[in-house]
Amino acid sequence: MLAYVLARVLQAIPVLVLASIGVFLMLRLVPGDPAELLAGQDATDEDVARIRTQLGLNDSLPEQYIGWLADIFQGELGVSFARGQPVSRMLRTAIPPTLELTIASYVVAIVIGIPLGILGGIRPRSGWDWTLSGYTLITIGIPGFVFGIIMLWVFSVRLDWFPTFGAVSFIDDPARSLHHLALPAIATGAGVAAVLARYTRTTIAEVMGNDFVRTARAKGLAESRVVVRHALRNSMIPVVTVMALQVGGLLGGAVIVEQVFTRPGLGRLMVNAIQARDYLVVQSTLIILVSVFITANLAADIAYGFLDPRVRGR
Amino acid sequence: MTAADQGVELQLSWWGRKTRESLFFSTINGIIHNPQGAIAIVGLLLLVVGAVGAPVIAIHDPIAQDASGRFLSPSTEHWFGTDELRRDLFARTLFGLRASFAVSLISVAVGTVIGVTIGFLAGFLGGLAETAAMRLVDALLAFPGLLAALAILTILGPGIRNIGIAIAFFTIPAFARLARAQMLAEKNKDYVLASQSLGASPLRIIFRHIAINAFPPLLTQMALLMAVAVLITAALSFLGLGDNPPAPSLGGLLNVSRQYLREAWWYAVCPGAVFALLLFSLNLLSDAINEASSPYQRRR
Repeated sequence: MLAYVLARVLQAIPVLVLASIGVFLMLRLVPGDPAELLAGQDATDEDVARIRTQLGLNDSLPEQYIGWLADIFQGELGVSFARGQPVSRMLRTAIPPTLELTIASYVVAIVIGIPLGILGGIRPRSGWDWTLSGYTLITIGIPGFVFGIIMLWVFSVRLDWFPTFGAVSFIDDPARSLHHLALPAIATGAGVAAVLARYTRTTIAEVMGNDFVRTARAKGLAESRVVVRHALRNSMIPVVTVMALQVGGLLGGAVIVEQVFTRPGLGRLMVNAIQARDYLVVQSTLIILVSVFITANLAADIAYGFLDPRVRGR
Repeated sequence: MTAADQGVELQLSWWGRKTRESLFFSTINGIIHNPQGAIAIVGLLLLVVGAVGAPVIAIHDPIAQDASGRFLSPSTEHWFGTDELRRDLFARTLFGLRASFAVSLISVAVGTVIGVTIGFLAGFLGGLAETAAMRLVDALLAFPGLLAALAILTILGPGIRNIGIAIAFFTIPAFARLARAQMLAEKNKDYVLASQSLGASPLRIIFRHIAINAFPPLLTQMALLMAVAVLITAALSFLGLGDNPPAPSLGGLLNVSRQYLREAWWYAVCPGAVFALLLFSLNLLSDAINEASSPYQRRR
């Protein structure tokens, strides 16, 4: 098992390095002098010169890259020229709302998706199966941010049940935090729930056709026990993998849905930074999101190995 | 072929004959005769007519602020109502749809051509070229589409044209991978050997013979990526990264509508419904092409 985990981690490292090189080069690919870009429009020549030495722009590209990586690991992300704050502090306030939203939408996706997939899968062409198909079709046509706007209109504006904007930290005030989280989490999680449900349905339907399910039924087990103890256990392996792979989709969804509900998270931070050409902020946000994405994929691989011994052998 | 067969053959219409002879026409036939495909085609036709004919169909100007009031609810005069600047929302939705179609079509087409060429050549040539190209493709696919698009927009700056470039860019690896797989599946078949022995050049073999047989899966992928392109274009415009006001876009309309939900529900609902129809149709079309072109289904 240890060898398997190590091999996976070693495989993920080149991808991470490549991705970080991509994000690093981003600033150098922007037309113009990076130092002048970072200094902003009304910077003096001294400012530009200071930034140039700070970023080590006079060194060779590989040296710059190493220096940049070292800075990131030390949490020194520079100062945002648009807001004059250290980027690390901006990130510290923006990460919690996005993290809370991602976790909450994950919960929503699992709570809706897995049971719906199981119910549809154990009885294909039943009412639950049709519900699943209809649900999938709806989420394909109505993406998260449109669904979010509709919910915002119905539940926040018309019925006034939920706040229309903002976020509250879960640690400070769990109840109010959930109140703010409910609609965005449903908007983000609903689409991912459909992906999980379809996947769960397929695997369950496949497993239900196996001999061991017939044996379990033949020896007189209650149907609920057949499903929970025998079918579910054997179909959860691919489902767990797909769950981990959805983290990227959830993050992307969260970034957009934050805009609908005006949540002050990473998505809004990045969008505002792109508009203000605040490159250091964009760079830092991107490297965080991409690392999370790659780590989630790695976790999926490792989880797969834990659950299915056959994968490890290969 | 016996005489009786010939008789049957002669009785078939032009369309009937074509669907028997050609993979392309039989695929089209399959799409039309599939309920999902029929719905998708009707929906898309409606939208394409609306988008292409926008200057004729929309009686009001999408930019001129000439309606008799702000936030007029939908009526026979203004089908989708009016917005905060007294502009006709039906016209704005149609022109937004038009922009959406234009960006997605062009960028997916460009991405397809480049991606398929890379994939075909990599699969056909093999060796180091293949390994290098495919590793690069893997690396590109490691980025989620939206993040890649955001990174490209940071480099190039916001704007609808740059969204198109971003979409073309992440369309390339998806097609390269698929095209390579198709090439590997086809290149050792007898018909390739036959044309090789007839002295056909490699380029002719790739693009005249193999490309035709690899066509249906690529078409499925194109319809699917069109849906993704439409979605990402709208999402990025929604984030405020695609607009060049006062020109409308579907995502831009949805973004502004958010501030006026209290005054004008139709501002969000009408463009949203058109957008949903577009996504539905493209996804259904992709499914229908897939079903129509898989050999398993065709053999019926």
